[in-house]
Amino acid sequence: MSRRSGAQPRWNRAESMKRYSLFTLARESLRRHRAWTGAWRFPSLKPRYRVAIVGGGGHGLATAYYLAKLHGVRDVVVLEKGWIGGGNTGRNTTIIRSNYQLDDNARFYEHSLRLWEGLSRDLNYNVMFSQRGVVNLAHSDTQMDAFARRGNRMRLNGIDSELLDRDAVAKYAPLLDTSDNARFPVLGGLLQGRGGVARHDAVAWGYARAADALGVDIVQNCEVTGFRIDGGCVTGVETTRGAIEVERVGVAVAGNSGRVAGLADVTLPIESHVLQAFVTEPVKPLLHHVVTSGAIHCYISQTDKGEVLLGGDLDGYNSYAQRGNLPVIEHVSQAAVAMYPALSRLRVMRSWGGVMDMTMDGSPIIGKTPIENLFINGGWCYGGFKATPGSGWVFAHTIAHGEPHELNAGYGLDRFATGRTLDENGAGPTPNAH
Amino acid sequence: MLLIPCPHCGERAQVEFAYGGDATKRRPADGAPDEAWYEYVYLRGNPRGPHREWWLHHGGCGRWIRVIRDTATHAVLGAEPAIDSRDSGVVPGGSASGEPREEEGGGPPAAPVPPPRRDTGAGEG
Ligand SMILES: Cc1cc2nc3c(=O)[nH]c(=O)nc-3n(C[C@H](O)[C@H](O)[C@H](O)COP(=O)(O)OP(=O)(O)OC[C@H]3O[C@@H](n4cnc5c(N)ncnc54)[C@H](O)[C@@H]3O)c2cc1C
Ligand SMILES: [Zn+2]
Repeated sequence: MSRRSGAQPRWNRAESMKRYSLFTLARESLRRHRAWTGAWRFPSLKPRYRVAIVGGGGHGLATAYYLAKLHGVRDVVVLEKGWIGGGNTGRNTTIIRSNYQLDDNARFYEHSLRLWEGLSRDLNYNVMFSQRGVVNLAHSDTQMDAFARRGNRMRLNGIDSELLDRDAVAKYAPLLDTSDNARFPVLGGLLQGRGGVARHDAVAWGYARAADALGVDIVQNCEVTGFRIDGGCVTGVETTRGAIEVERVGVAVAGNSGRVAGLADVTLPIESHVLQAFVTEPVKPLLHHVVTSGAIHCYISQTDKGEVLLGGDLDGYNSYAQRGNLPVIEHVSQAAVAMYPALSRLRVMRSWGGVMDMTMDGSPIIGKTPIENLFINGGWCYGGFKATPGSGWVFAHTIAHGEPHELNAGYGLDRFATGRTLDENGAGPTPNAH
Repeated sequence: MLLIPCPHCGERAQVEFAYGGDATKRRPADGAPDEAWYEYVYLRGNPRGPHREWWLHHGGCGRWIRVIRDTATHAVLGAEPAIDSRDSGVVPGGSASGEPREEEGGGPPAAPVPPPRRDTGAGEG
């Protein structure tokens, strides 16, 4: 970032407050932290922008940041109906990995993982990315074979993977029940050592702050209620704070993709479903990695606050409710205790849900729509948090150039009609099975 | 817990049912153009509000039923029997006879939605 360029003296107070460092932290602590300023502005809506991004989640904010930083498009507004990061960005279990098999997915998610690796430095904001490793457990010979194949396919795409046998899993995750008596005996696992977790809110805040510093307006409490379309081309956006003129629009509203696309009369191959997660009371560090079992529908890690964070499958029915029902929580709790008997006496503190944009093949949609200059980024299913940097990066390219980058060329909305779907799971057009 | 009023068995807990998705899709006639199949296989209205949807009462009568449920509140607004082969001459999941149907929507899915397969990446967060 070029904030220090120009004639500004380096020690100019207002300027140096903007850049976080050990030095500013030490200096401000001597001043009793009274002089910190907000990390981004609260501008009012201008009548006209070059680009409007709908949705102030991680994806929308990252898109705005990369538009400003890499494509020189700074006349950008992010329109958020609530507060930034209050959607799925602030509700997810933050697992980051790139262990995909299909080439399009592997390349895209690996690109995203590489961006994660430099993100805190790039944004000058600590997103607390912790590459503590993600292991997926296998409970059958078939699964071991599938994992061997998946690991090999990852390696062919230059992505780290390691097939672990049962002893190696036991060593890696000592509290995991790997005994013969386990409810779901563990045969081994597939490890991605570079995978891990990050602090969800910090991702939204870090991108917001960095985008704001480059001139992007972030307007919260501003819901998009319609699009102005002239001769098949979007020319404006209607919001609860008035209408604006725009040249291009990027929609990144996750679970609300269908609704917002519907404002432009575009129907998407997406169903909205609720996914829940929950945390236990905080305890001392006991889980050092992310451990997942697709077969018994449970993923588990420990937050930096000490809570054990648990997630599983969708509730399974269409929902916009941002809350789910108890059967899934019961199921995930049972699975977690079967995997980690030591957790059995922890109390659950709170649970929540988010609206998942489930596509018909389980892969995202990033590209053009039938409306000219209206671009869509959605269909993130369970896994969009890990995609945040990569998604913003390719979406910014797509909006700036009017054409997808090669990394998202396979994610076009037209792939369903042409039959070139990206069905990692082989589940077919049943959104709740991806 | 959702309580679903099965027209055959009465009100039962959600765990007795499997979800079958949007019940408003109509299967195109054989030989319909590709766009019709694309629309049927892939596109969904995905409303926020009342949604007409299939549920299979596997823990009870074993029949497909049609439920109207609000996707914003989860309130179950009603349920009705599915038309099956006995009363419409239409095989579940398809229009073998190609006859027009009286009611909105086609038959229920041919089989319950398969349980998620978990050998690969999805469902792992
Ligand atoms: C419980 C749970 C666990 C998850 N676990 C993982 C995980 O472990 N790993 C992983 O990679 N992913 C995970 N995900 C998925 C991930 O959270 C999402 O895919 C990702 O955060 C989507 O980011 P986003 O920026 O697109 O969406 P969001 O953060 O949801 O942002 C979209 C924004 O658009 C706004 N909006 C909507 N409609 C309008 C409108 N009309 N006008 C203006 N603004 C609007 C919303 O208010 C929202 O802030 C999980 C999700 C959930 C719910
Ligand atoms: Zn019944």
